[in-house]
Amino acid sequence: MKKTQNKPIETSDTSAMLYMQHSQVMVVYTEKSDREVWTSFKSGDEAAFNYIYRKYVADLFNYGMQICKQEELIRDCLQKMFVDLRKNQAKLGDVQRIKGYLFTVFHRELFKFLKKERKLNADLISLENEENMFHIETSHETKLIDEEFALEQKLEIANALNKLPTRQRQAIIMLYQEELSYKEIAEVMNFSEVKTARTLVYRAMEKLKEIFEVKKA
Amino acid sequence: MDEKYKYIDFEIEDFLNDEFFIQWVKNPGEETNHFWLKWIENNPERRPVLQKAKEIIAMIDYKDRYVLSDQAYMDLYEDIVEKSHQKRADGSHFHWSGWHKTAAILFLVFSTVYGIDILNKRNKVESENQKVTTWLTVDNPAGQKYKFQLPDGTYVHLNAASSIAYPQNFDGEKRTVRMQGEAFFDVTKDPNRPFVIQIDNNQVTVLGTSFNLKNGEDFELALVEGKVEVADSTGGVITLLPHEMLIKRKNGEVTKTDFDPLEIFGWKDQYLIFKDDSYPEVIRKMEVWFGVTINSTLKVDKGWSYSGSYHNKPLNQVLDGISISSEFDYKIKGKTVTISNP
Repeated sequence: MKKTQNKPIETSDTSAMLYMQHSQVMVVYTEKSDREVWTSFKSGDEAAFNYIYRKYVADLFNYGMQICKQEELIRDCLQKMFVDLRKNQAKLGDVQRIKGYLFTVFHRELFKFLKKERKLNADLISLENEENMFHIETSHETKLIDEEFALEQKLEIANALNKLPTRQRQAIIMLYQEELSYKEIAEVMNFSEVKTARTLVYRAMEKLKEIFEVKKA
Repeated sequence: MDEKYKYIDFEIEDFLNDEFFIQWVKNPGEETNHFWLKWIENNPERRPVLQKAKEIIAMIDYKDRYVLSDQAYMDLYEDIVEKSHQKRADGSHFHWSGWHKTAAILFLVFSTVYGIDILNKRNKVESENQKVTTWLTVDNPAGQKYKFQLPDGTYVHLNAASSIAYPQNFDGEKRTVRMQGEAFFDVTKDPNRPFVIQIDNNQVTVLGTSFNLKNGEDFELALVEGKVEVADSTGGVITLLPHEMLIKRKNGEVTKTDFDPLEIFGWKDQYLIFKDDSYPEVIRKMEVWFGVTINSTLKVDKGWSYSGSYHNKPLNQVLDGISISSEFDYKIKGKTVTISNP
């Protein structure tokens, strides 16, 4: 199983998409902070937009597909979001972390989009059953020599995680896999308080504690 | 509270909930490394808990990861750029082609005047060549490779599903050929007559050198020795040195990397190479290599990939090799292969 993980911008970018590697555009922009890239984008720099698109579109697409498995709809929604951002680019505020910002905007846009589409086409648009969203897998691939968990334990952890309420699973994936902060998670999931995101994860981990503490056979 | 004491009563769920700890696991930096390594040193009995928490954070992944296809990735980008220009509120004019040329600035350094000049010259050269020269074409179907010499002594290994056109005699200022697909060139030195390969939007100019050139979905040029210049239709010129590979993708991205010679031109010595190839890519490579049509009903896992090297092996042995790791049944009937779940 190939794994894709987002490394910090300073190091080489190993995103899911091959085309990202070594591109000259990427090289220029990976040395800049998110705030600088965003400022360039706001001033109409096509290269900055190109970079933003390459870097985040795969994650956003995957996120959308977790919520609604209709690829065309997700693509339309991504298109609308990016077109809107570009049209209003000069008016946009400052952004510290582009990923968190895009996830928030995209999440909001997607639900608006789904609501509208459902009105037009009630039969065609079906929101995923919540239980099917954000399923978790515990990867078996690890570079550690001394592993604390045996394979069966990992599977057991995955099982337990997938029995958690959807919102908890989502928060866990956002935190560990997408590497968003609690503040960003709260924004994406539309919580008025950051604490809510933190508590969601804490409750889940507390619940799984028993499984974590089993000694490796 | 001092960070050192904050963590002293932490249970596993507390570590799993702590952003500073998660940050260290996902993106260790100087600061986090310094802190946490020191902390473990001072609290050795807590190491297993920390280790467990670390592992849990690192192992969490999406069960189903959805991947945007290359085509959708490019289409979406083009749609976004086009749509956001078309409806611009200030009513400014927009031309796709105009934008496209501007976009080239992102990837290549070029001068407009120089670019136009090259275009004009090239058209002239082509028309002059066509007046006096008979062109010969070598066209390989899938499943067939061919090695031959051009009139100037240059060796060409032409890969399967590729073609090359060249003049019966190189009697101009330049040795110009055209190609599609993939070929390995070992160009005879002639400092006075550059060897030029014309393909779609790119023009490759060399004096004497050897390199592999692939022009399919993307343009890929891997240089073994000598020096190569690649000019695109906007006049952008990129110079390549030995052991460098230039990749220009259809979406406009330009990359220079190093390369593994066996992977890139092992084909000319009968090496069929798979390297972390996706299932469709593996199928495509076999179809081109053996000149067969493969129908597959096999369900493969997301993230399926295959690596392997076959030297001079027949189709059934390659299929046997791949089926070891991914368990499938296959039938070969003439030029058609059927792959299915066992």
